[in-house]
Amino acid sequence: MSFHPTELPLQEIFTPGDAAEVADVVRNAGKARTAVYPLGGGTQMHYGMPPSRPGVGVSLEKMNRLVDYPVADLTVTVEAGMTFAALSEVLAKNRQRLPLDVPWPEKATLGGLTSVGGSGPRRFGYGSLRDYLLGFTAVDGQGTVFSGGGRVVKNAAGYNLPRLMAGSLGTLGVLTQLTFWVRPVPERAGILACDVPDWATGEKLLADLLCSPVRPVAIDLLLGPARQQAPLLGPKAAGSAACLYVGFEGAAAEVPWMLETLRAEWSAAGVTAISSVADDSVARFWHWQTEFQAQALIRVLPSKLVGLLESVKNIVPACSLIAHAGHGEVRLAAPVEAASCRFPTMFRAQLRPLVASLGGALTVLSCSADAGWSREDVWGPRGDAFAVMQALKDRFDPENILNPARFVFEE
Amino acid sequence: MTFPPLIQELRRALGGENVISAPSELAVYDCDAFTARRRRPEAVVFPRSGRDVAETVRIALRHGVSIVPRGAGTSLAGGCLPGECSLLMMLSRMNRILEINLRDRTAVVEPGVLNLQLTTALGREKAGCHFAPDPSSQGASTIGGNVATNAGGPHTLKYGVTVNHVLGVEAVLGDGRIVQFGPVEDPAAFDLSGLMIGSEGTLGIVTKVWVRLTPDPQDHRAFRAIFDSLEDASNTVTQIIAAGIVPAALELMDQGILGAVEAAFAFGFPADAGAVLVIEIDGLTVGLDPQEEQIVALCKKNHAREVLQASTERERELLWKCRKSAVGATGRLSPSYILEDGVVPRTQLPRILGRIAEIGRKHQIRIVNVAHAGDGNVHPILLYDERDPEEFQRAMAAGREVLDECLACGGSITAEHGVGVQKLEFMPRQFTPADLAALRHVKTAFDPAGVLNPGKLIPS
Repeated sequence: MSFHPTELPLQEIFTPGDAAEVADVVRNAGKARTAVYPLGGGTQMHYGMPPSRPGVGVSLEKMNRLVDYPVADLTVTVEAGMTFAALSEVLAKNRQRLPLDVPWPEKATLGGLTSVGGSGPRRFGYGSLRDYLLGFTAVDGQGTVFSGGGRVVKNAAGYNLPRLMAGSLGTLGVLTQLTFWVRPVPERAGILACDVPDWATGEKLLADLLCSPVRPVAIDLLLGPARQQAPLLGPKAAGSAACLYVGFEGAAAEVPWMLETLRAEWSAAGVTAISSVADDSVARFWHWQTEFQAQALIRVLPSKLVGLLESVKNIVPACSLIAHAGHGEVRLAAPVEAASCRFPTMFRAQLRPLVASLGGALTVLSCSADAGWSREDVWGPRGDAFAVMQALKDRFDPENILNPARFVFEE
Repeated sequence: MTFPPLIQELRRALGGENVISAPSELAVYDCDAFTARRRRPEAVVFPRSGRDVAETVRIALRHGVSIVPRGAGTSLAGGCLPGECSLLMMLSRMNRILEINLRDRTAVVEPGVLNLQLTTALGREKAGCHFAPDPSSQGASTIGGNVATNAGGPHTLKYGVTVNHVLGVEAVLGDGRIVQFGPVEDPAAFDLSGLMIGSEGTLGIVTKVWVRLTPDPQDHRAFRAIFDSLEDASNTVTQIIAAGIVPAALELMDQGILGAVEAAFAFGFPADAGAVLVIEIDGLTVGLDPQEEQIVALCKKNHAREVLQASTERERELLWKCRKSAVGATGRLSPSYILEDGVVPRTQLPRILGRIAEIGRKHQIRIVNVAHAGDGNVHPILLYDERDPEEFQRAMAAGREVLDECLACGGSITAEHGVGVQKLEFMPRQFTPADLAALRHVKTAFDPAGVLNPGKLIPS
């Protein structure tokens, strides 16, 4: 995995020390309509379209300080260049955390994570980053420093700008400071796993989970080579459709109770070869999943998920699929031979129509410049949101200098 | 009878029975639950569908009038106050639950569906899940209104506010286009659904909502902890949160309001209590004992006189009725009141409650308190007699000072009621000119003509 921003056409990299210095960089760049590329830990350089317009980098590496951590309020304010690992370490001393699954946490910055707005297996139980972002400060495309939200956990003053910034891929502003709501660390964690012999059984097990008193934080189906590579001992019966992993977190008494309850339910339903793991192994499993290299992300309503998996397996038989079945998210990794230039064609002809027919969203997560991906291949056709998004873009960044070309906007 | 051209067009588009324009009939629509300001709309329209809403927006654009969307009109901040030359759009007749999908744990509802109507329907189906936002107005307020204000309620301490429970919306924008954002989250799109929640009808008129349904807890226990002093009660709240316990709800009522509540519901609160905390924990049965022990210990440490569990479901319901109807019970204390909605960082709760008492003394205004204490969300109720204009002015001044104090504590002027017109003057105190400009960017991107609920949320 490369973390260096060499893929960006950078003429110069600035390392401002505060929001005012970021604003100076943006203002100066704006005078010449020079592109501005915000740089965090560089862990998501493969995400979005490869940019071609030369520009300047704004590295947030110096802006990595803890600004305010009123522990008893369960909120924390940090500069955007702080890494997730650094924040997690501070929070852990007080048995608190930001309950997000983050790839390469030693490198990934809070600003970068907020811009990308990704999520992982435990989103089912905890929601995504945008559920935890209470407030921010950013620099817009004209070099104006502005803030949205606040430092309190409930706030109805003004529009919910934190929701707008999370997932906007740096196209509306360079994030400089962020305030998050944090949570207590649960005492225990555990996973119960079983083989899913066929798709109908898979759907039944998923539907039954909704009626069970257990409260999973993650419900995952693993298919293909990923299933063999998973760092958990577990049943991997030949000929079965998938492996189902159900994750729990909670108080000391809760997790063993949920593991036992679900095990009993599965046994009663005729499921055999059930395995479970606890605590440290659980964290390793989520971490492995989070850093699993996928080429595409598909989202559908949970009820469509099993049908989707079955169809995708028919289109790309040798692929790996990690499916977060509770919230309807699938990560697809194609075998190397399919990831060649034929891949975009297969996406256009088969995958995207399939996902569209299920009312879902398909995003290419990793595209190299030479594979022939178009903007529509990567992000999908423009939907209802686009006209409003463009109007927002025109206002927050009228010269179109912030992270141009990578996202859905024209260069 | 002949009507002006605007009314004629509306009647043609929506049907005469869905348009009110007689001045005598308009009088009841001149304010919402914020009664300090009133204005009559040009007409009131009752759309039956998204298409009706879109058609009304197009007519409004042609005639240069604005549209003020309204659900049940329970806004406490004047969010539904008719504007100058405005049509009031009542969404109350778009009140169908379109779909309940238990496999996806979602429901699709029209904006006029009452909050409690959905939860009642789910109970009837024994769905095992509910819509989590539970504002005290939930028997009257609509889900469209909850979306407009990003409504909260007691149980949002654990479960989050409306934005955490909406997957998508269908809405009519300021140009009359019908759009859909969600329910499947698309990385290629900004979170425009999330942005619209809490926008008080200024960005679009929501015509359909995809809500997330939350599984009912396996078990719950409700307690009332009686304290001699307000300070002990508020210290308990901050210590419970600091200990990493997340109760389902953590509510505070002070001595002033307890008297009114007791007179109304005869629950049995001691007359001399300084404050009461209503604490609910929920979740798996096996997890409740340790939580209960910790909470009771913290209450005792802070000198709670007693901590009593609601022993029956009926008692629990009555306890919640007392809390949720507390504001209404203040009618026994004075003819009129101003209900504020400030929020502070949770550790600042003792400070803000102390300051509120001082402010009341300074302005000679009696202030009683309820609070979603676990969230740091205070609802001081400033009592006055509207027949006494001088007292009204003092109450207003005290209210302003309370909000200033919330800002001084690092908080916000509204947690869940919205800005409406009531709090417009505070926006420049909470936000910089650049912050306000960013809000205007959002407004003009959605509604360049300014037809949707102008004059609300952002100061001009």
